[in-house]
Amino acid sequence: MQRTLRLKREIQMLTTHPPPCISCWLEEPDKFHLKAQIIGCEGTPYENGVFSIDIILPDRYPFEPPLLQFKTPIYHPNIDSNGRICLDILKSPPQGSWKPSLNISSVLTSLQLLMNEPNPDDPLMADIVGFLDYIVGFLVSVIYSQVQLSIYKINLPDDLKPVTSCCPKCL
Amino acid sequence: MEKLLPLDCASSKFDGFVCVNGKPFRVHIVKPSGSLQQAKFSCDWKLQNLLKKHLPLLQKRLTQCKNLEDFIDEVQTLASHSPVAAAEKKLSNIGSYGTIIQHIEELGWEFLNDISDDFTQIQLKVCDSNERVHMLSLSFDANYPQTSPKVSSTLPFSFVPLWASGSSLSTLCSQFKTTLLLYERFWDEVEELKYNTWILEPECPNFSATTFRIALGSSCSMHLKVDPLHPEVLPECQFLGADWAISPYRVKFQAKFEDWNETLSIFQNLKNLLEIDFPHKPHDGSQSVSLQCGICYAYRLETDIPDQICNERRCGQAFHHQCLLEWIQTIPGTKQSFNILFGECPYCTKPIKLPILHK
Repeated sequence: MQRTLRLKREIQMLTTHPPPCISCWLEEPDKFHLKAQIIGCEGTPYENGVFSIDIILPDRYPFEPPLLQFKTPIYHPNIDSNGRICLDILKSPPQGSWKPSLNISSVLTSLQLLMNEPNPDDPLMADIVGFLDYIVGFLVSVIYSQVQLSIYKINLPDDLKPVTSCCPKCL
Repeated sequence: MEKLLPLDCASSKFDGFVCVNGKPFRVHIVKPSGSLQQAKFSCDWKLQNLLKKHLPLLQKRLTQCKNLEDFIDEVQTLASHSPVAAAEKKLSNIGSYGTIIQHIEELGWEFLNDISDDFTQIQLKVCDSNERVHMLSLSFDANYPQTSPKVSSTLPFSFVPLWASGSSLSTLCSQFKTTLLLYERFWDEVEELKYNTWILEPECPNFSATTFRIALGSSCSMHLKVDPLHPEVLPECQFLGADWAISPYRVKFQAKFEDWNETLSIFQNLKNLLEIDFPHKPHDGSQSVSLQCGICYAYRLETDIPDQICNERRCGQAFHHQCLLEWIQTIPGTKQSFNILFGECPYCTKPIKLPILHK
């Protein structure tokens, strides 16, 4: 009941006032399945990358957090190779801090922030954190190459394709 | 037995009459064994017509009744209460139809809005001087035009016509128009409020509504009870919402209510007293977020409206009772004392309390 009411309103909000660099739409309305795309922010290793995310709203949404999964491979200490995300607001209390005051839009914005500011204290991918701790400069270039890889792996529509295929730091 | 006559010595067959609305109907009962369990009841088609809606009930009664006499009494009561009998009784006098048509003719057919199939109920359409259309429903009985028809209308107080011999529909209509004049100023005021403010309750005020709930801002509103005959005097006012949101209005109202100006409209007076620009009803149906439930994002959840409000002054978020209950029962750390749950507001994390039982 609440899930249907909320989804209707949230889609309306996402359509009229989408968060910057994020688009989100309803993929399969009957299954409460949404899809989102986050465009990597300028000045980060993910710049110009378009990252697809699957969103499923569980039955008890908004009393339970939405289920998010990266569909585009991403090199990030808090996101594993299957696209699972380690973010406290995506878990119910007491482990996590999901609240019904959050919504799809705010979760996606947090995810964008997590991409920009990785959280090495709560790692999902220990090896990446190892890099992060010791060879930050090297890590940046590794991530860049991953982004370039992911850009070419997925088939983007023409208008979403990055204008620059190469960046100054990428060799 | 008074009403039934046994037809044979074994007293297994009976004949008799049942009297409904003064008319006798012949009935016949066959009772093979001593008990009433297998008894058969038959009657002529006129009585069948009267009883047809009560058949299942009648069958039950036949097996329940102790003796035949009780059963016949039962048949008589059911038949006289049937709607068919009532309708027959209503306009048994055929002359009434003629009178009704004659009176409508006299009044003018343009006033007639609706008429029922059996001609016992009509609806008249009367305009007041401000072009507002009022409906006056009349229902006639057999005594018309000696007695007044039953009238019903949507007015703040019910309209009771003065009926004398020689009265007709046109006298009734002019009386109704005079009554409408009494409320004109009141309706003008309501229209101004409707146009300039957001009336939360009733959703679509009709002509009989005298209490209104008006939105003052996010999560606060005021309840107005207006006297329809004296709309110019200070109405009964009550403020609803989170304490921090309404207390400034309450203070202003208490300080200045003596300045209520009877020559100004209610809307103007409220505007001056509360020093406020009333929020308007959103046109596209997208209500401002604070008026919706913070959990399901809707204003109405079935019939429930968001009436649980966070008391933190910077929050003031409203929730449906049902939504907030489900959330604070989900999270650990919620405490219960008697029938009240103590949890956290999902928006500002400040303590919020919630009675388990709603209203």
